[in-house]
Amino acid sequence: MSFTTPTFVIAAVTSVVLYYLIPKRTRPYLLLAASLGFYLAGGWQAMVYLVGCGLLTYSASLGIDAVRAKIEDSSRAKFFCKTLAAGCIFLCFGLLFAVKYWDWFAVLTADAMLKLGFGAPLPTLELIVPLGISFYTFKSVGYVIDVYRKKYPAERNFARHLLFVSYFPQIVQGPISRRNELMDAIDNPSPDIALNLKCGIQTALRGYLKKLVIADRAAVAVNAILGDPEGYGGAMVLMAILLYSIQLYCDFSGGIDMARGISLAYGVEMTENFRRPLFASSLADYWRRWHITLGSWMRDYVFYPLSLSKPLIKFGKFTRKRIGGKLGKILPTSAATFAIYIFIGIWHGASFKYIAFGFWNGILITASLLLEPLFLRVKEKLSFIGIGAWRVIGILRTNLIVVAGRYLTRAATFTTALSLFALLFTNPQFGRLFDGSLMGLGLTFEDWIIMLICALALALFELAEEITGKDMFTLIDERPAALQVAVIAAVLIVLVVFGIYRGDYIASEFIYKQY
Amino acid sequence: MEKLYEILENICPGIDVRSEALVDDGLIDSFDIVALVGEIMDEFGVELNVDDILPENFNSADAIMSLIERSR
Amino acid sequence: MNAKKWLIRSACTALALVMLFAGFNILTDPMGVFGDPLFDWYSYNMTNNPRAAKIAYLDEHHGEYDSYIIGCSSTSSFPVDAFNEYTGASFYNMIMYGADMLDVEQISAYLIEHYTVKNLVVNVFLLNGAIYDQESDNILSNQHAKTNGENPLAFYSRYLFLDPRYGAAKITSKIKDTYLNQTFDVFNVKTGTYDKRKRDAEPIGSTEAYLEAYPGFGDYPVYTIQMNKIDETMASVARIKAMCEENGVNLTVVSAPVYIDHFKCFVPEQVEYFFTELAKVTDFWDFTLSSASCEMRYFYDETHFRNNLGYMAAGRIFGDDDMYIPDDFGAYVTSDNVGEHVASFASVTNDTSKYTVRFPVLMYHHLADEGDSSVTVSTEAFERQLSLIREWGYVPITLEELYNYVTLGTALPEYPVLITFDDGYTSNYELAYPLLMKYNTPAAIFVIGVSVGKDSYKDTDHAMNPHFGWGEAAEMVESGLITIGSHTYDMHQWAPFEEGKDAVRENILRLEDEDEDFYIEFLRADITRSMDEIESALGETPLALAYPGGAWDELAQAMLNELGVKMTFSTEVGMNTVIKGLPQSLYALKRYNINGDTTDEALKSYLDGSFTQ
Repeated sequence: MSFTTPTFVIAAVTSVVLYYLIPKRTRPYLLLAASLGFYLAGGWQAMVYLVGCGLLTYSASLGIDAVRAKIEDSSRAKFFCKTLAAGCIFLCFGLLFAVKYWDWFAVLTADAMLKLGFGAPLPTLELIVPLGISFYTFKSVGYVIDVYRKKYPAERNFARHLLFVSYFPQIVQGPISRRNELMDAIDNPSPDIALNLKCGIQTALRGYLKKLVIADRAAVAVNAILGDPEGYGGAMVLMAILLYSIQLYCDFSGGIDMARGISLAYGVEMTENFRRPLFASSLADYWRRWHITLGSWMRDYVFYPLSLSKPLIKFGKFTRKRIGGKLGKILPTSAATFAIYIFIGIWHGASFKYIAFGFWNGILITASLLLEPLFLRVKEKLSFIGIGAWRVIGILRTNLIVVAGRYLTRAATFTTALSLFALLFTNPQFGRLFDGSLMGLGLTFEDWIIMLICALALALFELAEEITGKDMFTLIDERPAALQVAVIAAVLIVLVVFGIYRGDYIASEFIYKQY
Repeated sequence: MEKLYEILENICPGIDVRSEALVDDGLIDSFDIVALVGEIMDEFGVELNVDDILPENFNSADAIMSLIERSR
Repeated sequence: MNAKKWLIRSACTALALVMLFAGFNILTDPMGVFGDPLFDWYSYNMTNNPRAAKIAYLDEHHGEYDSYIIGCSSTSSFPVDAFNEYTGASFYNMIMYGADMLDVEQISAYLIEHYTVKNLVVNVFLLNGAIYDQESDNILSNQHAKTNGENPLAFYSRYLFLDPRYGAAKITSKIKDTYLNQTFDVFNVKTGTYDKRKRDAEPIGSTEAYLEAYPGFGDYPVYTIQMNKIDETMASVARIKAMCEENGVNLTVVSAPVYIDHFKCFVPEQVEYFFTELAKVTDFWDFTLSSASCEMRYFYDETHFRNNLGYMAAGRIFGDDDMYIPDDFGAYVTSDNVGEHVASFASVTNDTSKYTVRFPVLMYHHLADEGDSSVTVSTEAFERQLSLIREWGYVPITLEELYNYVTLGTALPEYPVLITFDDGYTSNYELAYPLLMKYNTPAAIFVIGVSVGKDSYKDTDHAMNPHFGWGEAAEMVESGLITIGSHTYDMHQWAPFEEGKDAVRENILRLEDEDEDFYIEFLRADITRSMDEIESALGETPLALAYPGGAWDELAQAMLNELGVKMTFSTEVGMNTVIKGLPQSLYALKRYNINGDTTDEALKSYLDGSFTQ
């Protein structure tokens, strides 16, 4: 069930009302019931995976704790724990691989299998991809690793564990919370009901605005242009990719806002997943601002273990000795970085383009590490350029790189992405940007205006957040009451007229088609 | 301690190594931490573990030092 | 603001907005379900949702009607006025675009139960065999809760919280509203039919010209329409019939004409099944396929036949012999003759020569005793031309003969020609008339009302070519050769003589920046005066008007239709094609200008149509 359906909104509001009516200690169970209900609405088959993943991680973590309690010998215990953790992780990712990547893999290797004399390619499974499986798999695996790392003891109450795995606000698109953070928030919700509701409504409304007013409009133009890239030419394609970047941010962060908003209404604050990526000053900075919980998951559970693994440390010693200098120092980190970004790429989906996407990020981040000294020297020489200006240059540069990377994420395949990019040079048709073609993409003039105004307002608010360090709701709260009411009214009107009613309206000239 | 400051200075030139919020303020990032762990293991001859890599262990030179002490 | 205050204020704002939206929707009422308190503009409301808005309208006005015509959009062309005239009843046309038989049945049931219904005419269209109980948009093409039994709360709340852009569009449309229909007000509220004043004012001529204007007829797509809802549809018709019998309603079932290329989309076996099943349920008048189906000019588009064909259908049903109806158009089908009838579809043919004639119109102005010039024709040249016309085999005809050909289907000579004079100069009476008498040649003269009998410009001292008076006109009409038409009363002004006037009406068109209502009133008064004067002086209502300067537009032509002018003449050069049953083929007829420079060769090329510019 999508967050934007009326049914969901009604169900969510009902759950919030119920939540505050029932005794405090039963509230987590209401959340569990709501989560399972939400998940069941998408079909019972997916439920099998969810509960399976919950059971698997529940028993593995309990097993780890039990081994530690029963076996005195620490090295034997360590071995058992490691086996348990690794086995559980293997199964979880195996499941994920089976539903999400197996068919791609089977098709990809079909030729090779035949050539290698296997007689037949691997069969495709055509399993349904359960809603949010990547998110809850990552979440649960993180939990098992934390237990293994003794960060906290295993959860004994399966219902509570299942609540952590299935908590509905974050199951569709994250954030990927850590168990201790999420359960602490659920166990100790913020007590001020009015404040909870206010924060929840504000955050959710921002999400709906981003999604319904901006992202859904941008998508129309993006799909129209990229449906016929040769016809529209490279300049329009670039325009589409720019719009796609806006669409992706508003869609994704809008979804997170809705999720956080609903959760906030229960008094449960979830981790931030976006921190104004528009203002990232470097690609590395960008990844600390975009899909933060995925990045930090990768850092804690992949990057550190990988960088500090024995082979890589040995490799590091070797490179420092033999190669030396900057390159020698960063080579091992860079290797881990590549691994991370390819992993992040694959996380997005089964396609070579995502692997290319991983390489694109890995290469740029390695390059920026390598070029850092040079950059610092240039910066020193050009000392007349102020710090603020450098910041702006950095932001522009980062956005350029990010948008370029979006060719890869938006195009259907890797080669399509390259050909789309090439269009900018072989067949740009710059004139199309100004000859009214933009009006023929399925968006009316008002659509463009409202989309751009809202996107601009969002960017300005985020700029204000960036400068003041306060969030936009606090900034609004500091203004006079009348202005605050005006903002509420404006948001509601825009949301209702341009968000909710969009698509229903048929202009009279379309109703009566000249009959 | 001086050795630690030197290492920090070396890895992240230009930062205030005496800061109490190295991680929280974003003065050092994950790359720096990995580099730092490598250097520390070389220079102090200790074995650091993935489990030790928590923000609070790297937030200040003092915290890093106590991590090193604990690992000896 | 603390959180509590924020919540309260937000809730109040939201509530206020909800009330604002609801209030706006009630006031603008774009589908007319709340009684349209502000605009009372049901033509607009019906365009948005004919099903709901018509019921809302009739709930207020059903006292004015006692009979209904009902069906999908092709039903519109069954003309209410003809049915009223033939039956003495008072019909309302309940056409709803895309209506399936369930819509028809449910709405008929409502009409019979709640209103007085004497006659019910149901159009069971071929397409009804393909659709039944269609899933429809629940804002624009759904029924009123009163007719389909929907929960009224759900129905009204949907319109209460309607997208406000519908209301906004209604406001902007109101500003753009004009006298004639536009895309947003396509219904005639009083009759319920489509408002076709615009389409019905379009001149119709040759097939080539029609194809150019409506290329859709040229490459009509060939596809198959599967009629797999025939049983459901016929069961519905049977229920309607039972309902009518039970309530003493006189039911007439008709099947509307279909354009031949569209007919070809249907599967013959299914067509046969459709009519066989229909005949089992009821006798009906079938107009589906005839020679008229082969004539694109009888259709607005492939599924919508013209009002003109609708008049013929009504004439056929009620046995009107006083009009043109193609012989094979319409058949009364019963279960006894249905097989025969369907079999006859295979042999439908069409011969355009039976109902169209191509002919030239010549336009003269002033004659002079001698000396040809660019504005005058000498009597000598005129006489020569009259004799050449006969010599070459052309037969001059009267306006009435032409009009009767189109309306009654009476015969015309093989090579007719029409001779016209503009302005009404004395020279027409003194010089042309005797020669016309001599050659027994009929002609039409279009007089400017204000100039009749004058030799100076209106009330000024400006001298002008003298114009004949009503006495001379009456004498000419008496001869039976001359017909007098209108050249407007005073919409052919001469700018140099209209001193001190900002705006001079040199032709019939609306002046720049002129208020539309003012213009329409002016035009109405001018034409009425011109027509009345001609009628009172000569005892006959003029049939025709020549546009001053040849200038015309769709509004002027539609206004003249309304005022009873049957034929109009432009000055565009070219041949004309008249078509039986299509009065539009008499609109803005083209004319060849004859002046002192016109050679005999030129005249010949005009007459035989070989002239090119």
